Amino acid sequence: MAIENTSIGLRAQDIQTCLQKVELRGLASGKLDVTRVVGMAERLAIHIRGKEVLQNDEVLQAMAGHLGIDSLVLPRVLDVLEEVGFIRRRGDQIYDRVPYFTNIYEPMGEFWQASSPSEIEQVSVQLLDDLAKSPVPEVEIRSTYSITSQDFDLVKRLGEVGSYLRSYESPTDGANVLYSPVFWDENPEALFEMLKKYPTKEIAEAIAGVRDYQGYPIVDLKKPSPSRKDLIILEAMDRGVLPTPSVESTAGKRYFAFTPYSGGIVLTAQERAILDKARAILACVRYGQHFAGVTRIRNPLWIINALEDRKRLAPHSEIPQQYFILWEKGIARFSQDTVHSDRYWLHIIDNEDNMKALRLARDMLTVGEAITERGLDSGVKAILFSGTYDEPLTALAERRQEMSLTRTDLTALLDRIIDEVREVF
Amino acid sequence: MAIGDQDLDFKLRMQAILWRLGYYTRIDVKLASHSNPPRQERRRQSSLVELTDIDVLGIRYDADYTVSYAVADCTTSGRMKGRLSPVARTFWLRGVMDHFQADRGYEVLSKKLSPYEKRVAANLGITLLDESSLQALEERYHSGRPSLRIRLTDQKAYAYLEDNIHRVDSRLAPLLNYRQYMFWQNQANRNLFNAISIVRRVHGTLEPSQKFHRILLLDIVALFSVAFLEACGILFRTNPDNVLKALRTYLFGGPLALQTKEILLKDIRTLVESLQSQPSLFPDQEVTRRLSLDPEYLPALSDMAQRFVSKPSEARNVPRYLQALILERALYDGSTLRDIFAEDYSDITFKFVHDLAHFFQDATGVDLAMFQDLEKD
Repeated sequence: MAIENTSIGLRAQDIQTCLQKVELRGLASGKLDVTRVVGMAERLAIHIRGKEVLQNDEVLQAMAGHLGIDSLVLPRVLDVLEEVGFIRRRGDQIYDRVPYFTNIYEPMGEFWQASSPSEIEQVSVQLLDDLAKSPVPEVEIRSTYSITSQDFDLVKRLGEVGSYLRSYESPTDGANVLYSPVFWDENPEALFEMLKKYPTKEIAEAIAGVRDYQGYPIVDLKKPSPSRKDLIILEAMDRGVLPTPSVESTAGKRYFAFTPYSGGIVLTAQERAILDKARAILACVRYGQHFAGVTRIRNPLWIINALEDRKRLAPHSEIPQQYFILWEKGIARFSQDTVHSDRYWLHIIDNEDNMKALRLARDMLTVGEAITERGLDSGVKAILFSGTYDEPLTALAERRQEMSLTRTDLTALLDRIIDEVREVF
Repeated sequence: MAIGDQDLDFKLRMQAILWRLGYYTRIDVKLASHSNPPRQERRRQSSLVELTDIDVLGIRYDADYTVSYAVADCTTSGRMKGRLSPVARTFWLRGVMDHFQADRGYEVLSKKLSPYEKRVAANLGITLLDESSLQALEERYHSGRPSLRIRLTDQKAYAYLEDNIHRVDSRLAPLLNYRQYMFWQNQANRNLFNAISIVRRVHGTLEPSQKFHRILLLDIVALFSVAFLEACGILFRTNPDNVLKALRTYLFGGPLALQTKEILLKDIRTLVESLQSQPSLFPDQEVTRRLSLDPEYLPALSDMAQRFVSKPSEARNVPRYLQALILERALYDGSTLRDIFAEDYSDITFKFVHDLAHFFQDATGVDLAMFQDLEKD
């Protein structure tokens, strides 16, 4: 499989989060076990990090329940975490060793690879990663995977029931296009329109370029001959497929493209606001990197780190213009330098949302999507950290969505029952 | 009681008092310095010259990582060090206290002391103790408390430990040297690197079946934990949002020193890359790997710092847990840590000890079984 371990780890978490409330039945039962267990382990890991010593008791079970980890599966999930070195069990205690400063998805992806995932899992993970870049015509993508048509149908159905995969029938040529609502939830139709104009591969490459370089500076619109990639990105921007905040400073107004997905499946209004802030921060920094008039930023990460650590930027004449949108969004304020009156300091307004936005901006800059607090539910974490839980039965009582059985499933199930009755092996 | 025994008796009793006060304690700490060899011997390595020694040193971290040092000098009248009078010794001790920035100093003497001598010592911030006042101090700190479940005052245990630890394989001499001299001479930030470096160099010699190899390693880890708490104190006070970056800056001696090292390394890399006429000698990846300023264990060390900084009340006692482990679990099959620390026992502190051991194992390559004594609890 030509997919990096970190991507595998990320997609496993996406799949598990989407399937969290789905009871897989029939032929689908057990088909995503490795992926789901890895996804569960990742989610549990980020929730226990910082607890140091946990009791393997009902509080842990309750918290795990909220993350869709049944008490029957919990021991297996803990086995996985112990195997990758994120925990150590000692009697009835669990030592938290979830790393803070290395990416947890890389070793989890490696574990997934070493666990001999089924073909269904391999294709599910690869497909979701492919669809992260762009929707793809079904005929085209089917041919790239060497699995049977029946198995591909199962991959599709698993994705549909988990709502991480959908299909769309093109009104022009009737072709079926697969896309992932996880990545293209807001404006999929506009993207489908683009698919009529450009080959899927080119769109995927252009969007992958943005994903690898979040805050991609949109080329000068007056430029006589933009590259094909820039043309596609420009059209995606015009159609509202890619969010493109603008920054106006000494070099004029410039646009910076981002992919719509940032690594959080359920975006609440507050999370959307943080994402919006993170994009604004990165856009301002990219402006300084690509278009600043006086001194250009050599490494945008240094600026993000300085904003996080020192909560300010040293005085510069372009700050009020270049970072104006940060003032508008309540992320920063400016103060005039006492020595050079034409220069201004930038001060970050130190609150939780702004700090989260900075961390997200750093992840977008380095990895392309959220890593640090991806999938973290502070309410669920509080169950473990406060040591109390008011509603232990909530998770158990939560009604699970059931996967409906198809005719094929039923036939297979009946055949299996008959075989079992006949003791045929 | 022989004179040497009485010295040791005083030292151990002072150690027990400091332990009761929450200090991590060491006996016979040597302050040494590199000597300048004569011109004709310049090619030889410089040797260490002992400058002075401290009979008992106590190091205590508070819940806000404030560090306190206490020093004690214990002398019988028949063996006055340097033939100094009690008052002269208090002046010497004041100098030692200043060196360590210690706020408590104790001078223990077997002879009866005059009120004048006690007053002079008090003016220097030193408590002058004779046999009767030492007993009074012990009673003050011991009364109403459960008995000490750690053999800090046991002369036989002390001799058993020290005699045998100095008889380990001669290839482990760098560890003994670090324990006895280098740790007390190095700057705290260098101590973190150095502890890992010397253990890594001798890890193949450390034998898990050898009790005193295990104890020696635990003692190095205890010293490492002292240096690490100092680093955490700085991170705690500067309250960084990025522990990895802050720790890195600390390890390399501050922002300016870090910058200098980075520039130097960049220049070396440029030089090496321009000399790559023999690719087999300098494969690309090998150059990048070897010419990296950051040790590969930096993320793991930062993880641990993040944990320690987040839970200072639990982290501050890690050296004491290691001291107790050495005396009661590794040296003897004695009291458990739960018994020793009673109601102050913390699962998280013990977990932090495990974290340190785990980190050492990864960073130095020592066999995990070298830390088997942790599993006895």
